[in-house]
Order: sequence, then structure tokens, then C-alpha cells
Amino acid sequence: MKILCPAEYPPDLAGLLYGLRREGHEVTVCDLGALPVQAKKPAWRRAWEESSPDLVFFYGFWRGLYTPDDLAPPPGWRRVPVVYWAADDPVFINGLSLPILDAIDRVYGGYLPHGRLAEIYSGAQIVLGLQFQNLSRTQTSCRVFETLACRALYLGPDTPGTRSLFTPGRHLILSGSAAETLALASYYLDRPAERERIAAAGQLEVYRKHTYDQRARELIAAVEQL
Amino acid sequence: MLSRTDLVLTTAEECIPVYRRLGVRASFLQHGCNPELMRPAAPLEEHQFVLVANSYLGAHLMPFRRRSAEDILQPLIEAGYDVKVWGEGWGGPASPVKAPGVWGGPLPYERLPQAYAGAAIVLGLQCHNLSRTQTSCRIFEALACRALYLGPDTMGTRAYFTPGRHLLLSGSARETLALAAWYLERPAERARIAAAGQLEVYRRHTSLHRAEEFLAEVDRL
Repeated sequence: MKILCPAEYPPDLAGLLYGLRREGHEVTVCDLGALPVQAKKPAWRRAWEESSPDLVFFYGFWRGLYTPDDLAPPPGWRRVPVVYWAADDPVFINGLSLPILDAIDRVYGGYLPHGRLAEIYSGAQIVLGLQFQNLSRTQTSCRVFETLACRALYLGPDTPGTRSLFTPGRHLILSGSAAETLALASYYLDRPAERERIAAAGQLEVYRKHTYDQRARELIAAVEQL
Repeated sequence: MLSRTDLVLTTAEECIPVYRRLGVRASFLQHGCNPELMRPAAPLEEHQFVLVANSYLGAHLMPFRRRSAEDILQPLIEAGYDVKVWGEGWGGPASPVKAPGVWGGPLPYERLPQAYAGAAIVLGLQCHNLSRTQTSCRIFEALACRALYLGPDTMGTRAYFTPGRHLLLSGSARETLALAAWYLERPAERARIAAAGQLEVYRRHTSLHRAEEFLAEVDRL
């Protein structure tokens, strides 16, 4: 079997790869940790095309040797099994292993924003949000944008930052207390057409004003003024 | 739900249901040792105790790390034994490794067998004691080098090794000091346990064993 791997570090992983080679398998290590950031992704794709692996195998993103985006498959890739060794479980299952699975979904699937997020949101009648603070005029959770993009009805804390971008009752619903949350919940759970109307308006709003294409243009415009 | 990761291999058996609930195929794969690298070597320096580990004492996700240092490392230093510590992160103000000459800085991985060869007893730390199976990969390496290992008494370690037969485990500072005093005076006992420990990892926990287990899981995809 031909196995492609993005690093031979830490030693634990090196040991396993040694074992696989001893078993007669062809292990290609594209040593992404040794490359500058901009060279990692092309090097990985080149190694993939040259070695045409039967299996892609990787460890946690150990000390920043590579990121999920560096592991993107080449265009038109043939589907091969992707195997991940979560050797920092159980301590880092939430901090490392599960986010890695989500990131791999995004990079290898390319059809879901944030992996399973869209599927999860589409199964909910109302998607809940939380916020860290209510002091900023502009700051709000990026989850609000993601939720609205998935055409989900969002219910979250009533903060100035959220209100600066979205109108409650039009793009989403906002609550300032437990009593208000319960009132909104019972009102909207009974009214699917209302939910659908707000969710559709919310999606239109973020698709119009808040996609990463727009953010990229804003970034470039800001940089050009330097 | 569909995942693009076809298989997750985890060192913590109790994490398998977490992955499966998310629709990800998951199976168990333990750490191991590479016998080509991890074997008895000529000593680097002679010490009563050697610890090769990064500190991670401040990591809030790993409260047991500090506890294990308090149970294993600190009492030996405080009792005045000759202890050498290699690894990263031991320079902080809260570090138990303060006396000059105790901390040797990071150690290149290929010198691990030499560092262990010069120790009467090799020390280990753990990040947690909650897993049924997860244990430090250092244990496999130390035992492969035919070192006598003394580390925290955790479920994951006991799942693979028997204290007093393959290695030594301690659950308190007091127990550590008692084990130290007993085994430092008995080189033949140390050699017997170390040899049994080495045999155990060479029999069941080499990279070749892990590679076979890996391939068996991949074959089922």
C-alpha cells in the first residue's frame, strides 16, 4: 500500500511509519514542517500527485507543522481513505481532535461550511447563539453570519454589535432576558412560515453584505491606503 | 452524518463512542516503541534519577501533570537525590526544578537511550489519570531501553504493565520515596524488573505491532 503523510514527527508517528515500512508498505513523507508557510500546500499537492497514495495518514497538527488547509488534496483527486491518529486523546479531544475532524471535512469535502455545521443547523427549528460581551458597537459572533448563511433562524443575545448589523424580527431574533427567550421560543416554534421568512431575509442580508469575498475586498482596499 | 475522515485512531479507548456518535469510524491504537532506536546504549551521564519530559506544569487542561510532578519528581529533589531533568519548559518560577545543574534543557530524541542508560531509575510523568488506556509514550521508550521506570499510578498504565513486575508506580510522594530507597539499594531487583519490562514492550508494543494493528483497521475500511 502507498501511504502519504505530512510529517514524520513526533517520534511516536515516526515509529509507526517505520513499522509500516518494515511491513513492506511504501510510505511517502512530505515533510511540511521543514517548509516555509507558502510552500507547504503546493508541496503537499505535488507529493500527492507524484506518489498517488492509496491512503492519507496524519497526526494532530503538532506544534504548527502544518494546518488543515495545507493538507488540501490536489484538484480532481481520486477518493482515498483519510486516517487520523488522535494520539493526544483524551485530554485534547475537544481542543484538538474534534476541531481537526471538522477542518478536514471542510478541506476535503468543500461542500459544507465548517464541516457539519450546516447539517446541524438545518436540523434545527431555531439556532441559538451566545456572545462574549455587549460592550462593542460592532463586535458580534461570527456564528451569527454563519447561521444566517445557512438560512437558519437565529436566536441570540441582544447586543449593540449584533443590532448594528441585523434587525431583530427581520433578519434574526434577539433576546435580553430568560422571559423574552421563552416568549420568542413559544411564539416562533408555532409559526414555521414566520421562521422561514426571517431566515430567508437573514440569508439574503449576509449573502449581500457579509461574505468573505466582501471582506477580502475591504481588506485589500484598506491595505491599498497604506 | 458524513465525515471526510474515514478512520480516527485514538489512544484513549473511551473516546471511541464520541467519534462514533459524530458518524466517524473510530478504533483504538496505542503508542509503542521503535526497537531500532530504543534499546540499551552507552550512558550520557550517570544519575540516580533521570526524567526526560516537557514540563507542561502550567497547562490548565492537565491538572494531573502538576500532581504527578508533586508525587514523583519533587520529593526526590527535595530529599537531595541526584536527579537530572531533560526537556522543555522547566525554567519557570513555579518549576520544582530550581537547583543548579538539575535541568539540562531539551534533549535530542536520538539521545534518549543514552540519557536513560545513565540512570538507576528513570522517572515519568502523566497528563491525566482518567483514561482506561491512554498512557505516556515515554513508558514504552523507557522500557524498551531496559530502564527501570518509576511513574504515576494511573489506570492507563496499569492496563498494560504490572507494577513490581515491569515497572514501578507510585500514587504519592511518600510512596515515591519508599520505592526510591528500596530500589536504589537493590541493583539486581532493578535489573530484573527492567529486563521484564523490556521483554514486555518488545513482545507486545513495538512499532511493528502498531503497524500491524493499523493495517488491520485500514483493511476493514
